[in-house]
Amino acid sequence: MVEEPSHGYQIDYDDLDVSDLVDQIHERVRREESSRGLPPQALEERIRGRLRTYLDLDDDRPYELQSILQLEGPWNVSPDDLRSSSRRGLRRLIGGARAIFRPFVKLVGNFDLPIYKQFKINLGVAEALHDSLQQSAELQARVEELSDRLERLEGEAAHREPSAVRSQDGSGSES
Amino acid sequence: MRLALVVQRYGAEIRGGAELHCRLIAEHLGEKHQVTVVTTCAQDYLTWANAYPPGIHDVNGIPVWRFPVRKARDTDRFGRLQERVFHRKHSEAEATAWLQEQGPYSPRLRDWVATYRDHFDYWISFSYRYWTTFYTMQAAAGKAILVPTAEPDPAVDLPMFEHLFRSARGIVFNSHEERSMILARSAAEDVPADVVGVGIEEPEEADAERFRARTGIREPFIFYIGRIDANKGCRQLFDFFQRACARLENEGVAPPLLVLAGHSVLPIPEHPRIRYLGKVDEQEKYDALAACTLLIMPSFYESLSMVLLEAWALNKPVLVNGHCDVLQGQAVRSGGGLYYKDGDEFREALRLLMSDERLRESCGRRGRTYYRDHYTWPVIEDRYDRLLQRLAADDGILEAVPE
Repeated sequence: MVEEPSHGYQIDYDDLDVSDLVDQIHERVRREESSRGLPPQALEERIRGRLRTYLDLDDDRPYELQSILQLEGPWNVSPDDLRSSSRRGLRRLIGGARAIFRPFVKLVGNFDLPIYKQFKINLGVAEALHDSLQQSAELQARVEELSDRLERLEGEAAHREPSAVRSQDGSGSES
Repeated sequence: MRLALVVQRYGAEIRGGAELHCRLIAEHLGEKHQVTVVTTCAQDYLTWANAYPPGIHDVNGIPVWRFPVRKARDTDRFGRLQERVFHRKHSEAEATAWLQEQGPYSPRLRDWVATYRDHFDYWISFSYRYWTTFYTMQAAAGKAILVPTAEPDPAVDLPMFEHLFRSARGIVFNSHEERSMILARSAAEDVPADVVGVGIEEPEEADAERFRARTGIREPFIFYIGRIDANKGCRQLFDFFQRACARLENEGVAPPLLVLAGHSVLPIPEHPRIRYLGKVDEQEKYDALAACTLLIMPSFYESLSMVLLEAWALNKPVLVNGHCDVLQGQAVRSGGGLYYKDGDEFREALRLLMSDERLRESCGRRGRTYYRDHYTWPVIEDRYDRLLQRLAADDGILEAVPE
């Protein structure tokens, strides 16, 4: 038997459907994401939380994200850029020099780190942009659907209007 | 049957997932078959430094052959190689170098397997991504069964492992999701296989009151047990949990405690609703599970998650990371808990589970039923036996047993 306790979720405790319940959670979260009703401070807090999630990727995530968004390629900085060169001989020279001097350099700093951080940030921004574009597309589709529906309703209302006008003239029964 | 189990480390005190998995299988199959374990002298999974003496030993009644690791892992070189092999164009030589650095590198172990290949009916190798598994599977070709314990990380996409999966005599998967992942990458549908998993060491008793008395924790709490590491999703857990606490407190709802136990490589946030117990032993773990309101498992990468089974064995609901296919699949199949995919869903699922006792009871009950139907030792042993009998009948070792 499906019940709806005070928290508002519909749950059949005897025949629990986890996917359905998680879908209900997702739907409730999605409704709450609407700006309406959220005080500005709460909205700002939510946006900041999401911004942080986009930009502060765990170390494994950038490469996974790059693959998911199909963003491999030379558009982004890469930790490899410090030794890349279009000249093969120069590339080998740089690679060799890095191998020799790496232990000493690591004593004072890690020059790969800023490049890697920028690499991660760029992918985080790309993900945020992707999500924004996706939401815009979904909103656009929703707006078009609502516009179509509104047009249909207005058309139906206009079609009913002439009988109401006739009844006011007394030429027919009032409706 | 005479079975040899190959694993990178082995010992009663080693708690790593795949190693514990192997030991439990060895000890349970050893009740019916002649089981020998072949492993290295390593104890530390980061360096593979030799810790145990080489030679033959007895561990809980199982004969264990230990071979020295020739070269400990150079973690710096390993990190560089892994970065290159996982994320950039690389040569076969670099992939081979990565595998050697991944280790544990023990040519004597490999040679011993090659020498004694025919002394055993089958060789069961655990964890596909280690040097020991890769080369002993080749040394025991035709008799090598693989227990991949695979997670969806870049290693499983390496071409070297595609052949490994296809050339196995049999494969024992931990989950349906693992099976789908490996078959999608290796076209190994013709390899005899089964989804089996592993059982757990169920405690004789789990005392919630003993936990409360020992720790002083008497309020509702959610429990995390395991390595506290970004790779286990703990950084995200800290973020989600703290934000959930802030929101719940704003709404006048008392948030639960988050209690963590295990070895930590991450700093634990200084937060009034987060408690870190440090490492705990098995009994303390089960006492904590008995006392908790639910188990939280935030990991992005799991092959099975034995801790979910441990929670369900005690009728406890779980809340898991839905970005991990295995965890989401287990939650949905079992009905033993909920999953989340972002901070808001985490907060709402947490709020729902903490507030609805009937839901917790339903999830806990379902989880226990699922555990008993699929992961108790008679079920696990029966599945191994069926696969071994099938292979043995095909190989002419035994007469075929009617199903």
